[in-house]
Amino acid sequence: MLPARRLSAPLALIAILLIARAASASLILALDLPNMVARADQIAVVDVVSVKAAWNQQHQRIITTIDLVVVDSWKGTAAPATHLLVVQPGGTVDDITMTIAGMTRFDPGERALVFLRGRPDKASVVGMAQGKRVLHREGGTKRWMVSAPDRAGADFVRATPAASAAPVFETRDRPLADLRAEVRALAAAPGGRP
Amino acid sequence: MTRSRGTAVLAATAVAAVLSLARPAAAYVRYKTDTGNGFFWGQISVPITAYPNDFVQPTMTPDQVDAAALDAASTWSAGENACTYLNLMLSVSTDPTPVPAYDHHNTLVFRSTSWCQLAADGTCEADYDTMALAVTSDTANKKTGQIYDSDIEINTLDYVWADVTADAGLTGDMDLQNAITHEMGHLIGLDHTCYNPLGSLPQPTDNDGQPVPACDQASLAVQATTMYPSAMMGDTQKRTLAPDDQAGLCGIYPVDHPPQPAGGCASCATVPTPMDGIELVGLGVFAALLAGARRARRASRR
Repeated sequence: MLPARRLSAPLALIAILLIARAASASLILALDLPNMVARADQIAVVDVVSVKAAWNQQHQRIITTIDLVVVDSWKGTAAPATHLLVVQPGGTVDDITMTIAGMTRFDPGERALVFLRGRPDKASVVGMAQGKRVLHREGGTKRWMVSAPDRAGADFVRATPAASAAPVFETRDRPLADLRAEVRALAAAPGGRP
Repeated sequence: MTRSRGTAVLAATAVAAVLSLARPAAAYVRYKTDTGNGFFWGQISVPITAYPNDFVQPTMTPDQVDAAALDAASTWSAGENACTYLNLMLSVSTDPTPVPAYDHHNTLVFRSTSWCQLAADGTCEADYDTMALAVTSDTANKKTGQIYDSDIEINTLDYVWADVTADAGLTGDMDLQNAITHEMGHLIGLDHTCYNPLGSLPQPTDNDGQPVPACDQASLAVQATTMYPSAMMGDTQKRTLAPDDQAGLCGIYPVDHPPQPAGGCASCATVPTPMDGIELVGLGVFAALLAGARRARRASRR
């Protein structure tokens, strides 16, 4: 899957801004937090209950349905303990696997922050993998943290580092409560479509 | 003293120049099964049918659309890469656009009325992200990684496409050949050359076992690859394979190790077989038919 900026006005503006920057700008990171919040119908901390892949009715495509239970809703109408279903193409059934680049992976039992778009019973993840953030408990304080990128010692791989300025991605773990306050403020702001 | 110092400076400069030109060996990232086997096609030639009927944007002529697809297929084929045996045999059909499916019929389709995974009756089963220019679905054996079917869908609902090298005034549009070349990389089993670290588990590794860079940390060399997962308007860099991309093509489909025909053949790796010959003849016939079809199509449009 090849992501890019859409022809909507806000994203076109982002694209123009990115084009105006160095050519090495991190183009995949087109959706910053305000845009993620604006595009999401539901933002919630969830537990992944199950991940089930199945053939469609014609036995021609595989679809994966992810059952999420809401722990804390930050935007949208989903109350705690209600369920959200994410439906996305691809998955594995028996000996056949259907792969689509860029799709988000969910694992049963994990806790995550998700940005979802669409109906609660047939939602999709905003911005492909950008719309799912892994959560973990901080060792000492036991606070919930939003995981930083797991670079696994990768100071990478080939040649010179990109010359882009501050990355759009956060580079450190962040307390979930801090992000919650920021997201709620963004959702309440004009254009946040709370 | 002066001469020897000058010689030393020259030598040091030469060494520095060589070092500055050197780059690490090219690396690539493959789709993998859960058991770690890379995706691959089990044949020399992979047929793909393009259905451009639903491409209705005024920014490109039908010939430009056809050429974008054909050139993208050639970019990943043996004719332009002596190190591989693989041939992507793209044909253009004027038939109605089929619904992409796991049916052993590889397609390239243009989606102008909806952007989702379609059921056979035309309803949306699962939404695609509108941030995606295009989607490629590879269906493969989950144990061996052998690809059985692949379909490329181009998002003409949300994006305006062009041949930006032919039309200098359209650099604000997305270059079609650029995107199709990237998607055909997926079709042959290649994954992106960087990953989104926020939601992805676990971090992938490349063919050398090295961790794949996060996209916001990717080097300029990685950003220059065809399989870098983002494009900007007017981008044509993905039309041409970078060393990493070519390493992937030729690492998975090396010219000196073509697949053996069913039943095995000890000498197939180095000596053309009757089946290869038939396939080559078939390729020639196919190319002639394709050229004729394209000429007829062009004539009918005039």
